[in-house]
Amino acid sequence: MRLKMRRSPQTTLVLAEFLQCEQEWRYGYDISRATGLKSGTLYPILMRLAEHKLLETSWETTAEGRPPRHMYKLTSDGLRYARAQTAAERVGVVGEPAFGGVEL
Amino acid sequence: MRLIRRLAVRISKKSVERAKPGCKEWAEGLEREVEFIEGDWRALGWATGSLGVLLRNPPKPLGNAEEIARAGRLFAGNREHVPPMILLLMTFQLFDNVDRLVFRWGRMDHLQQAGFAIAAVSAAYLAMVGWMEHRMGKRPEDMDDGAWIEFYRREMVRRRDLFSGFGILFPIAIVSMCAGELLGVEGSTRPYLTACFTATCIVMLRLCSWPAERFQRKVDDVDSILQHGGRQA
Repeated sequence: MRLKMRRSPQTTLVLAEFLQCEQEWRYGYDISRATGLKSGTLYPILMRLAEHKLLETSWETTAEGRPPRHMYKLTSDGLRYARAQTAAERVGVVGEPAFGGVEL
Repeated sequence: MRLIRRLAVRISKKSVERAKPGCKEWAEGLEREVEFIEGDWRALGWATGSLGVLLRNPPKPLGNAEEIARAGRLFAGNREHVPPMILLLMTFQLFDNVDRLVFRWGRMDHLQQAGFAIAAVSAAYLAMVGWMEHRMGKRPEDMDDGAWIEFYRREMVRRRDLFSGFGILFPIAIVSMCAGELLGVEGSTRPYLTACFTATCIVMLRLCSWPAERFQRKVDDVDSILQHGGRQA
């Protein structure tokens, strides 16, 4: 199935951040701090990635009776896509087409 | 807790309350993060950003019975707390056009008279459809999800029937009202402008889905979820 996924520098930034620790669940605020993206920019990207089944979400029950936190991790398709995107950025093709495709 | 932090928490809680069914999980995720943000101002920035996310992102299709019940409650809440905007705006528009036709009839040429007459008739029609669309059946009294699902489906069917019956011309009436207003403007190019505007709108109307189709899709969503259970929450 071929899906359209907007390829923007911010999306690549988020994907690169996920690749830093591929198997770990990440919190939204931590990704925001690491990438410097505000919630209004970061969450639409996360929502889009999840919509394309590139990102999985989960709730973590924290200690001390605090409410659960929402966590995010790339799926195996997401990891493939992230590697392709970050590699493409290194060779300088990111940003050329407004819309790219991801093969799932 | 400081005032700014309290404001941030309040905004994020509101965004969870107002979140459309498909966005609720994300709204809750954004809300929980506020507790883990060190600075108060930063927390406020995060919370206001989350409001933007919910406004910008269209809701996903309803996924399960719980989401339908929630959509029913949201729908009823909106109907009770939001005034009938179409009815109010179109009534104002109708009075404005009638006022022009009655008191300035002699000072207008035939095109202007025709334009304002078309606009007045269209506004009257739109006001009626707006009034009928805003009306709502009796909302369920209890907290039972089943009653809310039934209520939501009934309201969607009512709107589908309205827009495939009396209200079928709703999109065309909007175009004709704007075209009538354009025709009423003074200037020699207005017939051409009106023709161009109308042609463009007709092309755009063909590209958009009509209101009845949108409500039919919601009814289909509900039926499919009730029959097959929908996706997992």
